[in-house]
Amino acid sequence: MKKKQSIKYLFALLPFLILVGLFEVLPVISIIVRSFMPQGGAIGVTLENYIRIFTTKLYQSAIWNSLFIAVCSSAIGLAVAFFGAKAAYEKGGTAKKIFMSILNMVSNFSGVPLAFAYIIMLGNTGVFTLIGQKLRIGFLAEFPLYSVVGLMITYIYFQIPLAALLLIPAFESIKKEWKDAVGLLGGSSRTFWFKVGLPVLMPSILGTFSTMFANAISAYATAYALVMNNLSILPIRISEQFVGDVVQNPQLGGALAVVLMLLMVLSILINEKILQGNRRKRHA
Amino acid sequence: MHKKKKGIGNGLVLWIIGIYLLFPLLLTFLYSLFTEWITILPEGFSLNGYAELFQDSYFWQSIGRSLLISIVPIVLCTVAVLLAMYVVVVYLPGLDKIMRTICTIPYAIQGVILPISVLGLYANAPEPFSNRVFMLVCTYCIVVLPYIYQGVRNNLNAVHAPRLLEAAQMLGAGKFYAFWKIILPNITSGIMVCGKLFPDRTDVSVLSHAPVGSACQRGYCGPVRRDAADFSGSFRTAER
Repeated sequence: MKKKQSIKYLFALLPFLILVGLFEVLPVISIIVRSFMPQGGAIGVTLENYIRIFTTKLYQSAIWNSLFIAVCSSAIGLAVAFFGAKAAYEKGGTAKKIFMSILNMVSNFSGVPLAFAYIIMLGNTGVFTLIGQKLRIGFLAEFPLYSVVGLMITYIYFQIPLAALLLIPAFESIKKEWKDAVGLLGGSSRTFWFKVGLPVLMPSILGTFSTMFANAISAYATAYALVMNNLSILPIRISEQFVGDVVQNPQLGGALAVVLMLLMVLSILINEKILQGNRRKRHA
Repeated sequence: MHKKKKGIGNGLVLWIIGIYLLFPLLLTFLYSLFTEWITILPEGFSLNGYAELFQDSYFWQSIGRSLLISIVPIVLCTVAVLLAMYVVVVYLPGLDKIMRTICTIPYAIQGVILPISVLGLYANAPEPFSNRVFMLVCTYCIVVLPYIYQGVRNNLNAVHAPRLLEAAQMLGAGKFYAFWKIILPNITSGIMVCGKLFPDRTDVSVLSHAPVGSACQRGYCGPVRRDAADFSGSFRTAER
């Protein structure tokens, strides 16, 4: 009787296990295994895919470009979002509510529509480009939208709402009483932010940064819509190996994907490490 | 005085960021309403772009597919997670850690990695695996998995599920009854809210775009690719 019962309830686990097994665990394992297989589909174990990635200029530049865009767009986006979240927290009331709904709305605005919006703003015949040409503003007239800088600008755009949405709840954890306490002890608003506010917010800021980094480094749709295959960044190079028009090389693509995965895991681990260090310091 | 000045400063920051974020949206909308924009101000107001778009049967098909792809995975995934949670909460609390790990992995394989892996594995597999819509729906299930798990978990914690379960059992309810008839109704509203909050952001198009690249070569035009093309296509039509 008891045994029968135990078998019966395990059936409830099945849908979850099937879903996760077939579409999470298996694909990831397969791509890792594939990355160690020789090109052309022969059976064997080799590191040649990885060696090729780290010795070919094309892939090296893809990694550097991706890292550069991800780090810069995250840092700039985070800075803007921080001040936005701080202003929303201090202002409160209706203004904050409206700001939050704007954030919610535009956080869905990314990928192809976002790239399109930037093309009509700053592309070759974009509105701002035309204005720049008419008014002879060189910076606008020749805006390099289809380059690393342009890509960064679009990335920053979708990073800001993401970061702000993650940071605003963190600001809520700062109690008004702490501010009063600092004030009573003679500290200024600046002292409060540097000595109390920022340290309290640090875990959230770091966590937000690592989320943003992972978000930016793996973003594909915006980049693809904007620069197609003309700019070397990791997600584009990876998908090229699987669905490319010229040459397909799933083994190399697998290795590139593993490199990307490692970069993301690394960012999470560094974040954890810093947080642990902080915690230890606080307990000591 | 000082306080007031600060309030204005904060308001200004909010205004600037708000306008910056809304500007591309508004401009895209404005762009779709005019036939020409070659000088500083647009010319030739017209709604033809929209009229054409709404008459296009492809557009409605793509909207239908997009809706299907955004709703079905959330429902499927919620059901799967709830069933699994039932077992974990009621019978095997020890599995909770494993489940949490499984549900956070998608964070590390977000963006382009998961769809590419799925595509690499199943592109040449027999039906239904090689069906793009099936692939998309299932992959999207994994994308939303961490959010669903977190939502269900938070709600279960909020109603103190284990205690509620104990109480129900003391009053003579079976484990099955206690979970599905007592705990589930208590967390339904929370789960519904979390379902609406889903970040159906770039991910959708990342997923669809990657598999569809090769799908198109085989003469099968995938779901959201059409949608994405329409999205900009609609404005391009308006541009003409």
